[in-house]
Amino acid sequence: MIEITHISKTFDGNHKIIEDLTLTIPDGKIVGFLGPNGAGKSTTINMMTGILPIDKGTITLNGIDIEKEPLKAKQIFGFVPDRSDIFLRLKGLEYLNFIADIYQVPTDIRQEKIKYYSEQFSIDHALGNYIQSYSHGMRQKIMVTAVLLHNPSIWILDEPLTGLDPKSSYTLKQMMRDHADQGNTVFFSSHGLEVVEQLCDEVAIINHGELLFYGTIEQLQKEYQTDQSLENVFLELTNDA
Amino acid sequence: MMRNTWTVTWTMLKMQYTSAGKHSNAWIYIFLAVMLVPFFMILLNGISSIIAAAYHFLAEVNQESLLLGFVLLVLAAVIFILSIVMILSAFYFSDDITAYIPLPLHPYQLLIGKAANPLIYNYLLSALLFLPFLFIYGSISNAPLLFYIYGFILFIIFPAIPFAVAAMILMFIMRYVNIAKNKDRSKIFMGIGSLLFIIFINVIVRLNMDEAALVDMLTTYMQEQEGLLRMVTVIYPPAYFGASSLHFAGSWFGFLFLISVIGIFAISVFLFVVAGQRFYLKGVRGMSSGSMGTLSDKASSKLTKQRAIRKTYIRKEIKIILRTPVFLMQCVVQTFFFPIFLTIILFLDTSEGLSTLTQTTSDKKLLLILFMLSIVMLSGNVTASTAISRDGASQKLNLFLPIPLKSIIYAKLFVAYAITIIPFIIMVAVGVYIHIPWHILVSWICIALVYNWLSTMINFMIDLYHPKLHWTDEQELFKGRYILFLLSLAQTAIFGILTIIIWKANITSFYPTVLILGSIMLILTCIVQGYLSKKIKLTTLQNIETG
Repeated sequence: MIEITHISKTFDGNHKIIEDLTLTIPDGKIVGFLGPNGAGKSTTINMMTGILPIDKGTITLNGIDIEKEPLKAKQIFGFVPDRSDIFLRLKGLEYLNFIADIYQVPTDIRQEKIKYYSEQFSIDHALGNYIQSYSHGMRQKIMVTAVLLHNPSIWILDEPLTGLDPKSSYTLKQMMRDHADQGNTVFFSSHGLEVVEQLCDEVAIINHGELLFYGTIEQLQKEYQTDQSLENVFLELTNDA
Repeated sequence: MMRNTWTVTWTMLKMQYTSAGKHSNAWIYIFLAVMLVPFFMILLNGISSIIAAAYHFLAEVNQESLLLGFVLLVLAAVIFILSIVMILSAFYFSDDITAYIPLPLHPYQLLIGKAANPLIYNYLLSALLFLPFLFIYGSISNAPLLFYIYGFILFIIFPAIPFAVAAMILMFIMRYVNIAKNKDRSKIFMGIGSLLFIIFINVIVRLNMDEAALVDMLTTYMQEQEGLLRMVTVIYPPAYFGASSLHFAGSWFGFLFLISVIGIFAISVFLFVVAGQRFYLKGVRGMSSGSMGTLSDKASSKLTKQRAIRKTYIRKEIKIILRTPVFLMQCVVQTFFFPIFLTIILFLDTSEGLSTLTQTTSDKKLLLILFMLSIVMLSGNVTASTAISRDGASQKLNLFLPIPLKSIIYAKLFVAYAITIIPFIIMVAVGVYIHIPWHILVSWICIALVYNWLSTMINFMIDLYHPKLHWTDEQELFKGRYILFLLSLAQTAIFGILTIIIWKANITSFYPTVLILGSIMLILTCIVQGYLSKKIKLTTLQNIETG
């Protein structure tokens, strides 16, 4: 479970990015995080993962405060960042092994998981190549594979499906579903409203750093007295229509 | 057409010099510049007296124009050699060129844009080498106003000539020879090659230094008016024309010589543009990033063995440095330059100046000389001063992965420390070879090792507080980051002053000197170490992301 309680974030002293945001993401559900560009999605995720310090409020992951016990909290989630152009001079396998070392995954388990996931995502033939030579989709796949190695109970994914081919996209969506069904937490941001509509149990919509809605898509349609698609409601809600 | 050229040039320069979303580091530059002012004043004063002495000596035999020719020749040679490295990295090895190729621009427009940054470096270099000399020479020789006007025109046009020549040669080679298909390997190959080239030139010059023959030749040339100037500049006529334009600034001859230089400049620029239009893109598009093959089961299981966090982090740091051509050149290869150069001087030194130094110099002074040598060599620890910046976009991983902060910091410090130790070992080997007494050698090694840790920490912290993370091409990390150079210069200046004080102080014996130097180093190291342990927190790294 992820509990975000009254968090605020300001940049350059007075530019408010997040304003008193409170959100609880329960276990056993896939929660989609939506919002237009610059709404504060990445800032929120960066605070959840310890990349940015929190100005006010608290964030706990399975009850562990990310600010007070960062190392302990970081052990229990896996994060796919929005940028996949990292460690380009490492080979795919070296990167996976680096991540496995950081999470202290035993040798036999990591070997087994690397083999399984790399086959699932069809990157097994490219693990000996430098990440630099990978396409955007391949880089995304290696990042997702790395997250799965230490079997974290919480998945935080920033635009995880961007650049994936249909097969890998389907595989990842299936994995997200299975993970949530096992009682774990899956929280992901996306601009693909169709995917969110199809995959998520609940959605959180944010704009200008404030939470506009949190609940199921049915609740959203009910609240706005419409049977329109998520896309139309989203555009209406965020005033982008 | 011109507007497009200007837009491309401006954009390319902006990419090199703007650090997106970061605070200005101007105060550091101002602080360092102010600290270095006295240092430069002393240096300028020394150079001024050397030029004056040389001028008066040569003026007696009517050969003072030799000085002008010599300076222009040195300037051209330095620009030519440095341009080879700069042109290769700017024109061919920087990845951003692929973003410009699809745009509807002529190859020469891209080329002009790419040339802007190396040219800025060349002009900065010329401003340092040529302008002070011009004013000193002008004041000594009571030169007319035209001398300074011609000098300024030369300052504008002269550096472009060797640059254009180097660029044309390289464009031709890259078009037809296609040095290597793998971009990374060719970068490393060219980098090390240019270093070896500089050393090779040095060796050739030293081996051909037949003193008796040189004296004979000098005597012959001194018989004729401007003979020495012609002798020196025969290999590079623009230096002769440039020097003569200044020497005869008061007459029509000077003007004619200046017109000749302007003519050569115009031809060079024209040929540069034409060659660029014909060869540039063909050379660029011939290169590829290359790719490795798939892994065998054996290699795969070897690569996936479990390691301790700090060990794996250190391995990651080392791998990235060794595999990234720009990092390898800047962090590793360049640190070898000074000790290798010193070794070559030593082995080719026929006068045995260095080896006799150990017998003629007092223990105290020898230790101080060695101490300063190690400061010059170790202060510019680029691995430490780019420790955070090198991560670029990967810096995020330091924050969301469960890696203890101490592991990150000490892994980075360890790697930076270790890389500078290797060239230092060469220096120690040279010391053993020239029979530096053991008690001096051991004291020097101990003090230098402590200083290396101090310098590593200082360089690391400067980068921690003022990193450059928003680069798209590794080259950008080093371009326009004069702080790396100034940091080294400031440490050299500070410890230089300390050395001068101890040198002049009324301490004649060796061990008190060791005690003073060692204590100062230990105290400074403890202070910086204490600061590093207490003040560097996770929020320090997080605030980098905030920008």
